Amino acid sequence: MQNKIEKGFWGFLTSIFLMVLAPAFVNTGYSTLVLSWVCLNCVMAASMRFVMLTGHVNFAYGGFVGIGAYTSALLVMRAGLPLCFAVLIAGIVCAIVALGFGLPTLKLKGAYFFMASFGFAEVIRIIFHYFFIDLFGGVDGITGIPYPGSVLGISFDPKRGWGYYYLILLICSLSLWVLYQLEHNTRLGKILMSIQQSESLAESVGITPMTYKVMGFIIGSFFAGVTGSLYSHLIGVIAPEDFTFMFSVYILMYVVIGGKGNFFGPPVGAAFLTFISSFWLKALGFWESVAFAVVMLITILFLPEGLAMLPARISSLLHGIRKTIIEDGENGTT
Amino acid sequence: MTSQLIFNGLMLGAVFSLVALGLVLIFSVMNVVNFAHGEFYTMGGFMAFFIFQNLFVKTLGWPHLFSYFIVLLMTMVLIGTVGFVIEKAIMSSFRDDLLMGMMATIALSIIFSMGMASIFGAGTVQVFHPVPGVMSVLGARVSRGRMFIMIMAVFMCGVLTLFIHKSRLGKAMRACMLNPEVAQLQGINYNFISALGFGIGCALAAVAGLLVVPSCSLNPFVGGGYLMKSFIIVIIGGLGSLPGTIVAGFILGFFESFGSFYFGQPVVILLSFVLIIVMLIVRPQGLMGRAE
Repeated sequence: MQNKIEKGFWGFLTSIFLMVLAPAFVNTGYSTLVLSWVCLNCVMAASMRFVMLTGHVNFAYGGFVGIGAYTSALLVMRAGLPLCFAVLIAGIVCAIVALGFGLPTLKLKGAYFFMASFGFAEVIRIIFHYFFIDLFGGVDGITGIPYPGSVLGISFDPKRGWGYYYLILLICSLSLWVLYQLEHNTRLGKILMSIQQSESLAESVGITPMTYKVMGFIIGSFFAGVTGSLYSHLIGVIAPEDFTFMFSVYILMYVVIGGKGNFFGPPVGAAFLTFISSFWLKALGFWESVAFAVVMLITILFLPEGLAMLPARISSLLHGIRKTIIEDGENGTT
Repeated sequence: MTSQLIFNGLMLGAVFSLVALGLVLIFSVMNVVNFAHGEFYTMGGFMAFFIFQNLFVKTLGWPHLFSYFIVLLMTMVLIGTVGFVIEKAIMSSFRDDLLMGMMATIALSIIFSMGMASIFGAGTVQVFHPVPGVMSVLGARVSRGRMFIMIMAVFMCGVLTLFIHKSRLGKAMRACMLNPEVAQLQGINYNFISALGFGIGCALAAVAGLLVVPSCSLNPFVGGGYLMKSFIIVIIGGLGSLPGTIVAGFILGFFESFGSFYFGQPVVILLSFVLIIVMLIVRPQGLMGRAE
């Protein structure tokens, strides 16, 4: 197990290195956009999985990303705050909302929590859509969110978009590193794992599961807010319909297709599906979401552990074949 | 006005109960939350649009109640079979697996809604009403169509309750809800019962769609709203409790009818969510659910 995680960690470092070099090989604005997307989706998938450690699938995740995006856009446009503060405040606002939502609902198990979060996603959408229209802009949302020209004195070249891409890459790598450390090297991560294994057993050794579930939920939602904030400045336009239940479903697809048993599964799934969808599936237009659904159905039917387990699966398969060949050979000689 | 709202609430409640009953049935038999439930509702609606309206009324010229009943039977059999086959082909791998079952039904729901959009177009369509006219009951002007929907929905709920509680098959189904392994030891074919439960659940949603669509508009994506309402009902009534679901369905029906008259639709959705949160704090197992 330890060995596998080490391998994953080197893979992680290599992919960050490749992502740093990537803009040298691509020359269009669209490619830079896609690379930024990959970074954001990786963090979203990883933080969604962090909440799923205790078995709570948060269908309001897209809503939390939306809260982060709206907060950050309003802070930068109305209050004129610099981006780096807006990102942080967006995360904190999401964490506070998560606290309010999580306290009554996290004691629910399984299906009940799915349903409650599904309802909350709808509530967030309706608030953005119908209420405080002069602030949130109603159904049109907020348009013309400025592309960040500079952060902490380092100015970007907005025409090519590389500067902001590097900022996103930096923040996302940091977020992934923090999530990894939280899961593997802190008391919180170990307790969340123990709750996942058996909640009653964890309770019997003096752990109050509720406290740690809420903490995990708040941390996951904080990163949702951070990515939402980065997203809004990347795209420039946000509307309530962007952050519905389907947004969470896409993130959940990244997690499940990548493999939820391993920390590196969700980022792998996110990167794989984002590349595929932005370069090939876009051509399908109307059928894009159907293609996603079919890929997901095939994956969970035939590869329930996800893509991250594919190498291990293949090597064990090869090992099995080799073993049979050797045994056959031995049988033949004797 | 009040009696008008009461009748509206009764109608909505009966329909909501019908949709949510299917969801609860599927959940209790195979422990899967069916996120494609709304799409089965929409399929029923399109049965009314395509077979009743386009085939029976426009092509053959039978705008009678009798032909509507034939379409109702066809819908139950057809969508029930579709559900049965889907359970056998796909969902049987995900029994008792909450997360994967949910992902599979979400995938199915995307495939179904996009499929319907590509066949019937994404626009809104209107369906001919088999029971036209208005009548007055207790001082309220109620359209006959809505009365018909209410009576039919209550009738279907009654049939399902009778089936579950009186018939041999229903008894086997209840045994599987309580404990599949012990039920199998008694010689009950759980594979069959599970597929049957999924089929009946889907058929209930489709019947609700068929009944409601002449009074409302229909497009391939209306199912999502009913899915959310079913979730609210299920949380209020208690997952796995059929009587609780019916009671909660009527509560939400009245809530919706009075709320949208006095406050408007967006506020009602917010308020129903507040209702959920209050319910979760006061009585997490639902109105009639069993405490763990």
